[in-house]
Amino acid sequence: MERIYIVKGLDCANCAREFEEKINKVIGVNKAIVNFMTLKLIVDLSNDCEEEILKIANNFEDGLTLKRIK
Amino acid sequence: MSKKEKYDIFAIIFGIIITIPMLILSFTIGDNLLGPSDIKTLIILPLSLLAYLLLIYDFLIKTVKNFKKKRFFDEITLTLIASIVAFIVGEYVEGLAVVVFFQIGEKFEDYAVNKSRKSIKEVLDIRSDKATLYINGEEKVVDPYDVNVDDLIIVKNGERIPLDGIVYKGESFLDTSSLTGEPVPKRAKEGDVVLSGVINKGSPLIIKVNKPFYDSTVSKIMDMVENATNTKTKNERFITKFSKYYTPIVLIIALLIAVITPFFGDFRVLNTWSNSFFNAASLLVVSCPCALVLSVPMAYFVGIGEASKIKMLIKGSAYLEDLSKLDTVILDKTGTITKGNFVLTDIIPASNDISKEEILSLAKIAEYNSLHPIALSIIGDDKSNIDISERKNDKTIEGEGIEGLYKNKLLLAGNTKLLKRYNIEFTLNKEVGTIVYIAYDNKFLGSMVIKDEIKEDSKNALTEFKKIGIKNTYMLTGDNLETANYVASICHIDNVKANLLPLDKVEEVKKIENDKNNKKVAFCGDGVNDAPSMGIVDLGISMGGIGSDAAIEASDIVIMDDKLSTLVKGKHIAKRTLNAVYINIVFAILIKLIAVIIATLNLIPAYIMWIAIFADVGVTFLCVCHSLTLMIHKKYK
Repeated sequence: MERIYIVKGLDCANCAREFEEKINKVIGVNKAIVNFMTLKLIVDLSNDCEEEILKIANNFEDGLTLKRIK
Repeated sequence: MSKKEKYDIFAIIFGIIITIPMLILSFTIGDNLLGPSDIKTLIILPLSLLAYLLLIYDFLIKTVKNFKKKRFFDEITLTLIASIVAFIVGEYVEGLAVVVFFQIGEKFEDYAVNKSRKSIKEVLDIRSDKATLYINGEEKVVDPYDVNVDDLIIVKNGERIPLDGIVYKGESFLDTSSLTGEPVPKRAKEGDVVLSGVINKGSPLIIKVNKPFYDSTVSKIMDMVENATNTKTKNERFITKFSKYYTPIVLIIALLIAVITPFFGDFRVLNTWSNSFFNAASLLVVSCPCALVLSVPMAYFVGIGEASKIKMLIKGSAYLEDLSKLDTVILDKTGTITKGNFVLTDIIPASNDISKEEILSLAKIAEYNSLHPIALSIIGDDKSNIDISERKNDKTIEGEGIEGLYKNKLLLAGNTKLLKRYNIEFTLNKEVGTIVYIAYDNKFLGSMVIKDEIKEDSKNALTEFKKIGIKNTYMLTGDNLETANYVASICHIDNVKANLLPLDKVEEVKKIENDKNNKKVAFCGDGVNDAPSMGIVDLGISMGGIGSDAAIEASDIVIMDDKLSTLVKGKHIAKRTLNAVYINIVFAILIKLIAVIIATLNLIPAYIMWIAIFADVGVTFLCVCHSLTLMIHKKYK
């Protein structure tokens, strides 16, 4: 299933890349893409691991928040 | 401007004001490390430190927070370490400059990203944020998301239609230019389908909504443009991979320089250590791959935005890449090169025994049930005076025409294949156009000429194709060879395949796609009937299919304004985008490598920090500017 989040508080394009790398390591995530230009996180999940994703977001950078839109 | 932004700008300006004179001063007093210590400690140090502390106030907070979250190699942290090392070894101005330029770079990046985001938002300004419900004569303004299918909405003069629907009441003119680029307003009356995004230019229209907001045409267009950059291209994947290894490698080199190189020199002297730490610090400054990770996705983003400004919607960055390399285009004739507006121009009776009127009325009877555009041109607008009471067993034979019984005798309307099958002799009509032969009771009665006009811009656009690298053009049509050749000769099309059945078309497309001489192949058609062909080629391009879900679904690129010249303009944008991408990649990697080599080999120790600053902030600035210049293109707009 696909989930889309709006990412707020991402500082730079390289941080976006690092963040994407971390989300991709979560078990249950088939593929995650962080689009820095549109500030969206698009994840393809095989099981519901939203909690883990939110945890990573929370621990990644100060002020980073995710808002689910799909 | 928020309080924080004001503070940031103040700190940056103050930093610049201090940096410049301090820089001049430190160079005039001679070699940085050996200058008269009084000036250095009494003037340069305190002023630089003041400006520096103002600038890193935020950094410190952020770094502490990042450390708590176990994030050690953030670019802010690395910049901070580099500047602290510079201060410790006595290079005060460099220490200050590192953070001044870093902050300037950050601000510029923010500006550039916002600028490109805004530019796309402008294109997407066609979505309404409200809709007016019409309930028993009462009007109620609501969020378009709250409007349901079958609700009635009212759209007044000057307002944009918020959701797709059908005109329920009223008659008006619609400005469809935001969708189709067509400047002439289009008439809309009861029963007509209207699309969201167009503007009512006349009296109020009451519209029965037939699609929810998220499924309406505007939402579809916006989603397409917004999501286009979600899939990564080969180039972007390369950059992601490169960045993943680049930073750790540079950091390891920095560490080695700091702790190992002193032992190659006189390690008992403090100066040796200062030098290697300073070199290592300069590497921390170049360790961010920002120039690449920002400027390349930005180029794609801007390129796709620019394409949508000329009414070309590109579904993904990868298609932009394919478009830039496109060298072969397969075109459907009807509706793509020609208008797809068939007009009956002539009727030629086989002998004097039969009149044109008689042929026409028989033809109308034969074609009565057909929805083929050619049939529609024969039937005309008014179907009421056609008497089909004595007609039966009518059957469409694909690629040939229609056969049936009229007054229990065989009635045929179709091309030569159909008549040959029944062994009916006929005179070949060599007129240019689609020819429909009519036979009744096994006797050839006459033929009809139906013509389709070539679009105004097709000829010029197809001539331009050659100049922009589209070397091979193919035209596929179910039409006869004469008409096909006529259109091809006017439009300079190299290869013509005529008399094709829908399945033959797919076979031809396969052949062309498999031809090794063709690098990137596109199929260009209306998108509704050629989904199979679009699936085979690298690029499926649909034209004039806006409002049709099937067309948007099947294609990779949608040309909203129905013009081949848009493909020419789009290819220019694609080429420029890809050029910017390649130049940015090569330039950024090259400069960074040079900086790493200079620092590692200790080639220009006095200027290494300045080189590092250029390799980081300077290169990012140039690459991002390069991506932004894609927005400027006067010639093809």
